[in-house]
Amino acid sequence: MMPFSKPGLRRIIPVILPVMLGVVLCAAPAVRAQKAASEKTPATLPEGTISGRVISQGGETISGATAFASPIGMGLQPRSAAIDSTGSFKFDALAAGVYAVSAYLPGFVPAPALPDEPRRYYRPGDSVTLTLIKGGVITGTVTSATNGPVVAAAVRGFRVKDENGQPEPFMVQPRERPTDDRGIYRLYGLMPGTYVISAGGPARSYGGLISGAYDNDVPTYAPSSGRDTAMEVVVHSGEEITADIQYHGEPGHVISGTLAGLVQPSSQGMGGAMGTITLADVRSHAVVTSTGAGAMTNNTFAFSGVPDGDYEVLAQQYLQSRDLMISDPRRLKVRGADINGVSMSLAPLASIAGRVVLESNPPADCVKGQANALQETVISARRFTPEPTPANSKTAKTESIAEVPLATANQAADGVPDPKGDFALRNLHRGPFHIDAQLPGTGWYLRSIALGPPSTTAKPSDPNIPRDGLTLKPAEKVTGLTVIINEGAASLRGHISAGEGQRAPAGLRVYLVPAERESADNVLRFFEAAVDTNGGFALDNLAPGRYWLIARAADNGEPAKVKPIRQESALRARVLREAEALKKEISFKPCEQTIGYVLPWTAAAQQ
Amino acid sequence: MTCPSRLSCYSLILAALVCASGIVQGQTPDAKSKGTGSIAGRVTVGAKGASGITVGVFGGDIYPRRAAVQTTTDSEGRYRLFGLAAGTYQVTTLAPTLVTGASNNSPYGSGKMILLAASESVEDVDFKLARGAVITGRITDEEGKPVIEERVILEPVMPPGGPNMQMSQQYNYGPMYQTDDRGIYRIYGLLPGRFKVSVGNENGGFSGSNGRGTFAQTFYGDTNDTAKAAVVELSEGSEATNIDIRLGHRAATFSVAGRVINSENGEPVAGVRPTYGRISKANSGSGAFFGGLPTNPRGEFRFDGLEPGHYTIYVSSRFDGGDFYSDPIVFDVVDRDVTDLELKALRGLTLSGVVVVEGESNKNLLAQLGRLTITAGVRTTANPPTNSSGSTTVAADGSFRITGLAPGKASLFIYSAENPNSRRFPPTRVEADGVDQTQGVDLQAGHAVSNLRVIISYGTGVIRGSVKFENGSPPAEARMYVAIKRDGRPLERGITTDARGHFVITDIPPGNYEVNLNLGFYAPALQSPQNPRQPLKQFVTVADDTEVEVNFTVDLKPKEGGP
Repeated sequence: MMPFSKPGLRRIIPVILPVMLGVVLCAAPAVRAQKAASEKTPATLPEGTISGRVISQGGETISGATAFASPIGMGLQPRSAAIDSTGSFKFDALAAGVYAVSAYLPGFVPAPALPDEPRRYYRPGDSVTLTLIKGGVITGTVTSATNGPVVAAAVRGFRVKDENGQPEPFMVQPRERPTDDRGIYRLYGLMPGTYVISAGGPARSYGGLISGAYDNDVPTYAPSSGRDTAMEVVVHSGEEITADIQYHGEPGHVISGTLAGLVQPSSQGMGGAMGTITLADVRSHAVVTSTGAGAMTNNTFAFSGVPDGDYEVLAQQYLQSRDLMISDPRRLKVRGADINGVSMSLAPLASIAGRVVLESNPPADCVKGQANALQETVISARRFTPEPTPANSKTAKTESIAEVPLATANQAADGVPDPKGDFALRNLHRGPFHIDAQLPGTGWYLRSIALGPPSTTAKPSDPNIPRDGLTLKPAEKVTGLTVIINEGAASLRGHISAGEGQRAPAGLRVYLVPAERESADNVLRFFEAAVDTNGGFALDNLAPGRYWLIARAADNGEPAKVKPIRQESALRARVLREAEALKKEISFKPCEQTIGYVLPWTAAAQQ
Repeated sequence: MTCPSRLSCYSLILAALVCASGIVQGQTPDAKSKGTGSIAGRVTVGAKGASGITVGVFGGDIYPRRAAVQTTTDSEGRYRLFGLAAGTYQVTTLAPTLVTGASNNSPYGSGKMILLAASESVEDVDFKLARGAVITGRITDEEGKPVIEERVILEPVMPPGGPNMQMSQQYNYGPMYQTDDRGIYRIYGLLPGRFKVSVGNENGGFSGSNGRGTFAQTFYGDTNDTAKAAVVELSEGSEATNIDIRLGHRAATFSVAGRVINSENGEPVAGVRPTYGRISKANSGSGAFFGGLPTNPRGEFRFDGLEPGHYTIYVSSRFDGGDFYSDPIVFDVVDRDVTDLELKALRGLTLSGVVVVEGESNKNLLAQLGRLTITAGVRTTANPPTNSSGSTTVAADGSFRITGLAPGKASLFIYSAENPNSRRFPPTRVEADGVDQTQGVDLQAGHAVSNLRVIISYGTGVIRGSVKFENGSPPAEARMYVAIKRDGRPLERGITTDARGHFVITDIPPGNYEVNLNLGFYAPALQSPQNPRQPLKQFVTVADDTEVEVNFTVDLKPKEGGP
């Protein structure tokens, strides 16, 4: 990694890098909107259509696949479309809105997302290219102590690391297939990554009335061990790996209990309401298994075949209203004995409701597609861990265990306003959330996020929601969040010009920070973009005003770990200080589009 | 299985679990109190004892499906399951490569039901197993590429005039009936016999929300004609390999869109779910029906993934569809999207009244039953037929109100979501303003039905009994069914006897009962056109908190003068 040098030793040797607007890796909503816009093919797609193409990295033609367009925040089922023999698909007559678009083909998986790539949404008029790759395969034979085949045992593949060898940050749902009459299993359609494989333990039900012979056993991990010494196998796209298992078949323990608080739906089948109980391994963050509880089971549940270990039990119930009922996560230590009488109780989650207001102040004419602007806006809440301060450093750590179940560690909600501008962010856990918006087009900028009706004069005592987020109490229903989106955003296109004989390091980011002192606390005036491999950068949805501009590398040398500047006050203060010292000022009038901007950078420009 | 999201996978799994319920009814063993009863027997394959076979005993509760106790057979094939409390159990070999004569023929798999008394030791619960057969092959498309996650259908070919054997659901939906990423399937544990193997949809496809079209049903032998299908012959323990099938192409799919308007004022109706289904030649409109997304504020709806065919669509409250109904519209999907369908909806009818428990003696019975749900299913007079149903929770005072129903004849179903031992409470009498409507409540357009009085019966009586055989013993796969009539009217509380011919029916209301023993379920030898057997009858009187014993004796001596 390139060492950082002191600002005083800065040398500027301009080398013009080719300016290209390639794939910009950036978490900033501004660039995402810009990207969607650049994919538009004007005059060919009628309003209300998302069209696309599915390609395969391995060169196979993709046929028999299905594309899905899932409307965000509208509570509608996904639309589906067959993908034709050329790999093309089209959704027409789509309502104005924001859609997640995906493709499904058995045996194939989506190409891994680029690091730092945001969850991408599409709007009618966009065209989409989806890449599928052939999934990996793990196959092998499970053999008993007497060398006979282990038949109809559940074999599970747990993805413990991603394709880059990074541990899975979130709960992992294993892939499961039973062995056949020869003891052979075959897990296919696997995402590239590192896996451990287990045989035995409770099997998924396929509607059969009875469990298998190995359901009460502790799983045996390949090649023949417990979880701690399990073999890790690396799976690449389209590759087949053999991993045989010598099966032990030791009986495991039972975790059992009761579930309270199920919501009975207004209309229901014979079985009544059903909750899902999930058993997760605390250390590996893997879902071990899940089961149901409801009237049919007398509101009881039981997991069998549980080895000694640390577990988290979580109960959930999905309601037809799209609300999620959830229990407090229960941490259990299994040490040589069954655990019975675990009582789980469902409760509603918190939510945030509010309204998006579009404003034209001062009037500007750089906005396109104004008619559907509200329905094409995404408001999002992302749970975050507060930056440790001496006061909270201790509590923050312990609370994060108690508050956020493993099954929902990735706590976020997206909402899309209705034609009146009203939106709802549902099913949020207690704790702090950052609020942000993805804007409907390049001409808009995010002016304010505040509680209460829109007002022109903000009092200093008002909570600074863009900076501090919203902290939700359990089951709290926050209402009246007002998000003001203004016309007249500016944009900036440019490139980094590195010193002679130098190359800008990978992972460089460009920051735009407010030059007016009184705006230093306005988080919505901070913007950032990643610099692409050719040195280019693009910033959109900029609020008019004066800014300092700076390019900088990650402080710890790990670009993947850089947090968005809007979410970290220490980073904001540091970047602001450096940018003020650099004195590279730029100002934008409403709707101003600056292109071809050259930002000098040298290895010495840091520190 | 298509899982666009984790959530939908969960719901599919749970749906499968729900489907598996409600077959065995009996006393739930108390899992907490370890008993001192035991069940023992021997597992044989051919003439020899089979060692190392797992035998499990499952409680009367279907779910969770975990074995209460399990063990493996010794070198002689013997097993003994200890520590069982009194209750109803299913004893099962957990050896899916082995089959019994009836395993594919009975919803219980190779299991045997045992009613176990306190501290009872039941011996000789034996299993005679045979090695199952295997069918394996590869499914490819017209380009020779593997067809992944396609379901393979096995259809037993029966000798003409013989009994109609059906594959058990358990086997049909197992993952081994699905092709893997190479297009390969391998189905094991099959009974000897003759089978047709096919892939694709009979009667044309119905892909629903999946979007991709289905394949036309293609049999082994690469024909779409079931009469020309090649037959695979399986002997005990044999393996039929290379049972490959080459498919044509997937059917094209189209979208169907339209809107729902209020027939009274022409305004769009938002938030209702039109229900659509395919009308095949064989059944006019009673096939699979699908409820789609609710209509938007403009009353518009849209369905994707319909294959060419003849369809019906209507508004119904059936899938939580809101308070409206409509007459059906029939349409054809040919070679393009169907647009501009217009459904004229009417506000649904209301059915309200009170549920009462029969008899004066036990006034708090309703409260004891826990939360009851009442469902009204309406047989409408529309053509093609439509489905309409609604359900609600019965209030503590017994009152209920169901809305959104279409005109027709409504049948009422009452069940408890909290009382697994006796979930269903079929109404013994239904009255509207004193008029008997037990055979169905008349719902006429524009007329709400109120003052309905729905009488259910419940009690704490028990009928216990057993069946003994003289002059022979019944085939191992025999099942016997005990049905009861109370005061001449059938009570839907019948039950299958256990493997020894024992039975117990609990929680029944006081009254004069006719107990009928029906022979020959799953055992064609006991009941064939040549050897008809009438149900055996006994009459008993049952009171609350009492147990009545009923014993049957069956004489297996062939009747004189019979064939």
